[in-house]
Amino acid sequence: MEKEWIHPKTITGDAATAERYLRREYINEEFWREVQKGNHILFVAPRRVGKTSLMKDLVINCPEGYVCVYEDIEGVKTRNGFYQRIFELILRCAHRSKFQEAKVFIKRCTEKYSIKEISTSGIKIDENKIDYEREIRELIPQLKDAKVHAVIFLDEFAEVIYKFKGDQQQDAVDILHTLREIRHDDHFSHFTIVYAGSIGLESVIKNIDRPKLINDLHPIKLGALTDEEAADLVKKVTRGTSIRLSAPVLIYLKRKVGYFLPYYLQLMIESIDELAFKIGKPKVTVEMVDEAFQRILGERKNFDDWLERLKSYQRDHFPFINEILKHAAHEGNIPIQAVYDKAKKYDRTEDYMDFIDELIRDGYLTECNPHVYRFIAPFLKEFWKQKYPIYEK
Amino acid sequence: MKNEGLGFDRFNYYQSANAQADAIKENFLVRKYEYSVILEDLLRHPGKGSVQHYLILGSRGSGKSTLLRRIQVEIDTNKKLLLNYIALNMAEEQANIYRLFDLLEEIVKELESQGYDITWPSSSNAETYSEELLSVIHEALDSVEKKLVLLLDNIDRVFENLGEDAAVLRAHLQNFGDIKIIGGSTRMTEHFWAYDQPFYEFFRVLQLEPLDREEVRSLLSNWGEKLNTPLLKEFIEKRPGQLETVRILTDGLPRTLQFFVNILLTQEPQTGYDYVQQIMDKVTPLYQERLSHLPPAQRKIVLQLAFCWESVGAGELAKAARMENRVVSAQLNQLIDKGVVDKIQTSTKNHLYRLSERFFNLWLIFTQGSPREKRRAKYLAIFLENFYDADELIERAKQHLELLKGKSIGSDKAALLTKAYSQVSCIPSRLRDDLIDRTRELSDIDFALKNELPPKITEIIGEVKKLVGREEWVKAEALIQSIEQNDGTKEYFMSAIASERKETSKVKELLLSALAKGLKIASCPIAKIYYYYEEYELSEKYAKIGFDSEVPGCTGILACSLYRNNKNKERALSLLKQALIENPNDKESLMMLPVLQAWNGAFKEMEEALEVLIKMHDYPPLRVSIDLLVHRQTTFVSELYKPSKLKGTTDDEVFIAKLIVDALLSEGLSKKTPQVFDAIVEKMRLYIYQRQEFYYGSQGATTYLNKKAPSERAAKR
Repeated sequence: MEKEWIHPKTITGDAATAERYLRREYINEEFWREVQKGNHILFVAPRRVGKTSLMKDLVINCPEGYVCVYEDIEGVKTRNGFYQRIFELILRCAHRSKFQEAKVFIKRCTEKYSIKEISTSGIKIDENKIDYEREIRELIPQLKDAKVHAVIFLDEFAEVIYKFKGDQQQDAVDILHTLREIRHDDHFSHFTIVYAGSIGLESVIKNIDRPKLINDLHPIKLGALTDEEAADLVKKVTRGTSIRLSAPVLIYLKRKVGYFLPYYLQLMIESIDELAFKIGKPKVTVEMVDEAFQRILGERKNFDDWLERLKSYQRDHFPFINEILKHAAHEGNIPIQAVYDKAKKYDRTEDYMDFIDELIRDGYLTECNPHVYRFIAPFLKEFWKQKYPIYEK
Repeated sequence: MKNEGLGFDRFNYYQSANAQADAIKENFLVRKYEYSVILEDLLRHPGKGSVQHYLILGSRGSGKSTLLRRIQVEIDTNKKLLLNYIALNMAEEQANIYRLFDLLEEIVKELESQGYDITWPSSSNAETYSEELLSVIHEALDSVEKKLVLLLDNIDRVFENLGEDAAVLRAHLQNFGDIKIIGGSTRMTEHFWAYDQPFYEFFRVLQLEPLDREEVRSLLSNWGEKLNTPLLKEFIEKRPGQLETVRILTDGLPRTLQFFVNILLTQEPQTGYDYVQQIMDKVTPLYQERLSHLPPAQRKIVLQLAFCWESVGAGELAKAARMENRVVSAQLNQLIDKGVVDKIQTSTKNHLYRLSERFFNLWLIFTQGSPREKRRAKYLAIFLENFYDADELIERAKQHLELLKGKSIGSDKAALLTKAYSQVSCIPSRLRDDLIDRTRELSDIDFALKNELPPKITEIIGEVKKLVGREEWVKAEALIQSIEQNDGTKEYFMSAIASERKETSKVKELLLSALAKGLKIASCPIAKIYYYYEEYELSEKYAKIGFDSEVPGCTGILACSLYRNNKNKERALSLLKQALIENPNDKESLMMLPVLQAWNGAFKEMEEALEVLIKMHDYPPLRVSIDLLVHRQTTFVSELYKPSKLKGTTDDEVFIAKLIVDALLSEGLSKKTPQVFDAIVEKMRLYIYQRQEFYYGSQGATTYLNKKAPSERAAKR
């Protein structure tokens, strides 16, 4: 039996591409519309929502007239290192263009910078004493003549800026300044940067007190899948595989997961596949869905992290916040009246909505009805109930 | 069961990481799900695109290395895979790998040794060295258009030292997509789940769970075949219960299972004690190694948990280990991560903890416990209880009793085994008391050892009775609860207390539970309770159980139940007579005897029996008279209540009985009977008619009710 078993085509961890990726056309359309308008893009979403998958899809399906490169830059440790990476990405874009003008541009650069090789694994330069910041300012205006509109996707950009602390903080400010200048200079119109990061870029910038440096970016929010998209994803990853989900079971699965992040849907599919494989029954039942849910809940450490994170960055207000979350976990949701009642108890009637806003922004709660809040993910809600089994109203 | 030639070496040949490829393939029987997931992924996605990385989580000895080795062998021998992948299996003990570049250097060295054209980076800059090495790897892979499958056992150790390099590594994995990591780890460190860590949820986690029954069976069958030991096969087929026990004791870990099987097939136990001693000796190297891998604080906690055996809370554990609560909690979390400890969720926030592998727990008590802890013998009891089924255990206990009788066992060992058997729940109370008695009688037993023997059940019950007499219920119940036997004794005596306290429903519940656990004497009071509540089918059922098991007191109740159910007249009467032989003064039997005789048509005997009854009571009991009227003994009963017969009686009860009987014997209501008795008389009359219908099929009750209804309507008018 095991020999014939075909597992679902899930991907959890790395970005999903090709047959494992579910494209949302309306996001791609919005993206290219904004790029055409000359906007630079900021992808806003917590981790595991699918930013990298989206970016890689945009790179692969780049429309005529653009050359796209994706790069995870979280390994960058210095200001010069950052500019070097941009420099290389520009050259890689040009290198991939089929226009003669681009080839001429590359030839010129190869000679000027003693470049030995440009390949997918990077660029080899003999003499490496280049002032990259200055050089990219030189290079970008030339892209227009080279007939290259370079779109550079910088993944984990926020992390890089966040890491520039202490003595390096000025470097972060300088980088943000330079990037803003580039965005606002007409000479740089053939150059678009797409920013993304797992930690919110806004809050990182807020911390260094320079909100204006990014307020011109066009934010594209990336949320959970719709009900229909969730069903499409499940069908996509299970098509041609051994497990069989009937329509009612699929509905039940969706109800169980509640909040359709591709990651959690796929975790469920993987867990269901394991159960089905081990008992040798490909037909999925609601009981198997329940068991898979419990297993994920029981096995995954990252739910603990949701709690620990809150304890750490909301140290002083954790008891109040936890009261809200415990209520939402045990009662299914929390209306604003109950929030206010707790705020009264904790003497936070002045700013209680700030906490609700933060819980929404950080992916804990969502507003399900006007002034009624519930956990975004049933996984998290169940975890909270397990962690705090006793709740007195 | 002996097989002297079977040893660990032959097992190792088949199981270790150095085994030959063919042997690895042939003997790879478990962890098939995990293997098939990874293999299918490798086959399905050889080119560029998404790369699924894996983290194989499992306790020590759960089969991580074997799985990694199996994947390596497949890549090395499968043409399709070989075309697209290079597999590098980093040795289990990567003593030299501390930082990312240590690992990368190892990879580059390995690639170089495989003939790749490598240009080592010239940089001495630690900041950029890792990136340069990664570039070398990418180039090498690019040159052959292959992906690297990095099989990294103990990946947690590598990740622990990555620091900021983690971001560099992740970026390269994301940007190049030419390296696939399949890591093995005993724990899920924060690198894999903390939101602010680069590898947050980056790996697909495959948890190696304890082997299930079928997997254990398949593994052992294969070992039996490969090692040419039909005995092993025979063991699997004939002793499925013991196989399951072995699985539970070893927590389904293949490595421990291997040790166990070897012992099973090479040892012929003399006594339970020798057996456990031999097993513990054999298993010591495996567990010693496990223990030595734990830091001192964790070792201390593990030992305390072992001595507790049952699951305990963190607070209690902290107290026992004399450590701070928060330290214990933190260490427990690490032990859970390592798969050494299980957390048992409760409905409160205080969870319970226990050692995952029960056999490891036994070994810890056996080898690490103080003499006092060892003398508690709980470990031996647990071993015996887990290893033998109930019948075997009782048989072994009986053998031990024989040894005691023959005084052919040393007092030390005898006392330990008696103690262990005393704590085994399936040993019947009587056998347990016999073992204790015989052990106490051993001539060479010293005072201390004798003193450490547990009290007999009869002694415990004696104490309970004293406490009940003083109405010290809580203490009495606590004492009963200290009985370890699970043969219903506890419930039986608890029911006696409940009865004293007039907790009727509890009494029945406890007695039924005692009977369900095999304590047949509980059947008698159960039958009596059902009889009392006129549930005669049930009273017959339980009386029959007791009667068949020769429980005293059941014969009479069985006879009466048969009568009440109108079944088997002759047998019922004969049983009742037998009951009176067993207990001539049994009131109920004496009173029912004339009734059953009337039912049987033995009227002469009936009259004699009633005479005896009247002599005993001075008057004929009303109950008996009513039942005799059921059997239509109107005249006989009326004679019983003649004034001459009752001459001299001053008893009000007799007088009332006479009035009722008079009323019953007259048509309608007797004018002599005071009006106050009307309701009782009507009720009894109906009873008589109903019973007559039941025994003789007459329509008396129906006619009576039909007749009564119009007169009542008239009265109302």
